[in-house]
Amino acid sequence: MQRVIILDPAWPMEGVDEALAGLNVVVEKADRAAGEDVVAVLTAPEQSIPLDLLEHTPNVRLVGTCSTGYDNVPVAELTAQGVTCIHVAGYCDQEVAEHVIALTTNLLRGVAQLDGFVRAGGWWPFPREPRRIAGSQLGIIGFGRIGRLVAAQGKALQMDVVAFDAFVPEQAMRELGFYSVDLDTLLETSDVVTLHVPLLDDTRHLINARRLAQMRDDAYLVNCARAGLIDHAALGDALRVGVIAGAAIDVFPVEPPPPDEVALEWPNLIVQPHSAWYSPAASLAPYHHQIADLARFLRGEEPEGLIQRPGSV
Amino acid sequence: MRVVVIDDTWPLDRARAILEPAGVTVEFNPDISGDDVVAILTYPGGAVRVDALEKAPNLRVIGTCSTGFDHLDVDALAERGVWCCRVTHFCDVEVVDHTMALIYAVLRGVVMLDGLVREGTWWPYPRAPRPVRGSLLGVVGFGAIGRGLVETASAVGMEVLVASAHAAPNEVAAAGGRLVPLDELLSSVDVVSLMTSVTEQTRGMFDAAALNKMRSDAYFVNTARAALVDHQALGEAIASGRIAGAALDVLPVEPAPPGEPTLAWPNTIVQPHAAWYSAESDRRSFDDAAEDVARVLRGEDPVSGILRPH
Repeated sequence: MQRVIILDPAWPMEGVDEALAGLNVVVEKADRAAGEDVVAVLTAPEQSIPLDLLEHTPNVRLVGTCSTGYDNVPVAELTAQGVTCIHVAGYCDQEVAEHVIALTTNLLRGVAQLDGFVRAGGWWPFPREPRRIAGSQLGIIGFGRIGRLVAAQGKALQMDVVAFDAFVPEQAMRELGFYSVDLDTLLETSDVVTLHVPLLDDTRHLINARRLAQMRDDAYLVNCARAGLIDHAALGDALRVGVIAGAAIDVFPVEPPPPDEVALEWPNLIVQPHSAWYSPAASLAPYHHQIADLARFLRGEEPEGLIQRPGSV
Repeated sequence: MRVVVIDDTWPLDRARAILEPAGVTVEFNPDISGDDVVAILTYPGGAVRVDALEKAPNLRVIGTCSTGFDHLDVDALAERGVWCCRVTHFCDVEVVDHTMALIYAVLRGVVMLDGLVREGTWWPYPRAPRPVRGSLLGVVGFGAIGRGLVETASAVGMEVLVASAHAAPNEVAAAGGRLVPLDELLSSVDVVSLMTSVTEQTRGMFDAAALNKMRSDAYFVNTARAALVDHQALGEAIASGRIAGAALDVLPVEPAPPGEPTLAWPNTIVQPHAAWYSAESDRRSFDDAAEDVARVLRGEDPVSGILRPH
């Protein structure tokens, strides 16, 4: 019997055995994968796949992460060694887009800050003046599936939506009804900047001190993608000094954030527990999708969530 | 002739620019007394009752820089020949925006999750985010702001029910909503949003009986007026879990006094009467009120007079 190791302790096991019935595997949860009988390893964003995985599981043929982002999987190295890498995409696009709009509207209207202000005995004048949502400019970096849904909702709220994507031609963006701008223009002109690119070598610290300085001093930054897209220390400096007006982050360099996470001390910051993906319907979908994909792979079919190559989403 | 401004935040420069051409002087003064006082400029915290005429017998017009006018004795003042003018539509966009922000906040759990992360909680979420698209929004009232909210909420994919004594089904449908009886709205929706003014009929209408009709996972959003709501009943409904929570931009006493009970309720977002605000609407609220007062002083009808004096 071959083994499938699940590294995520929270993985719901209901229905897993049924989905894999007849495929000659047993599924086990473990905090590390090891053994010649391990054919597949599944994980979650909180658990990274080690670079030396094959030294411990020489016969592993499939590695999966039950998330859209796959920066926790050394895709290039594993692919080079003949391992198929899968992720799950599309199960929570609408949820993430809605959460981004929730954070965008809450930043522009100052909701969280004003709530704290009233609780501290304040009333008027407002320490953070609410701004119009309609007519504010929403700058979307990365115009993939989620970026496009964010754009559509921003437009429904009558925001001026602009987008930058190094891989989406200007013409294609215009056909979807949105303005394509270069990254400099997007950062310099937007009221709210939101990130929707995968974390890759090219995008790590995409938002650094120089990029933050390009933003308006009354602008907000939203990150529901991956923490590594932002130079965390530079964001803290920018918030403390007032280089930008505020930020909302759903992702941290270490998740869950340790008690000494410095971001919890930064001013004008909304923090979220990596919850943008969540809705009751979306909460089980990635696990079910990935197990179904594992079954496909074990039957010799091509998985739907195949990571074609590092960098493609 | 004097115009007395009893709101110490009112920008007097702009009030003077608008009113002095009508032959009056403008001053800030908490005391409205004087035979020469012809107009008062006020705000929701500055009540003007009919006894104002005992101090200012020649009062002709009161302008408030607010849409709500429950701080003015409109009927009694009109009977005594005084125009009460409010400002309308100066912040329609802002109130719709802020209400949408609060709807997103409660459905996605934004404010509560922020607090939970700061307390060291991560997963599972004690307050699970819910979808916005496909969720049901109930809008009570269908004036200009209510209509705007219906249009915006349906544009982001919410299903919108409307309860209104005045609206016609086809105009609600044209905005993207569906007109239903209030009871049906209350028992169906994920979020109830109040968009009606305080009248004899609506005062205290959200009492224990009304709140009991709501779903146990529903949120109550009030960016209209606190007097629409029995707050003791609302607090009990939230504390006992009969509804999921609330977002309140209006409180029974404003500013919230120390010990305001609302601040101790669980799952409740509290705002400092901020839904109306943007830099643009702030300017318009003062200027529109002053301009209507100037119209009355020039002998013209105001644009936003509440009740014609008789």
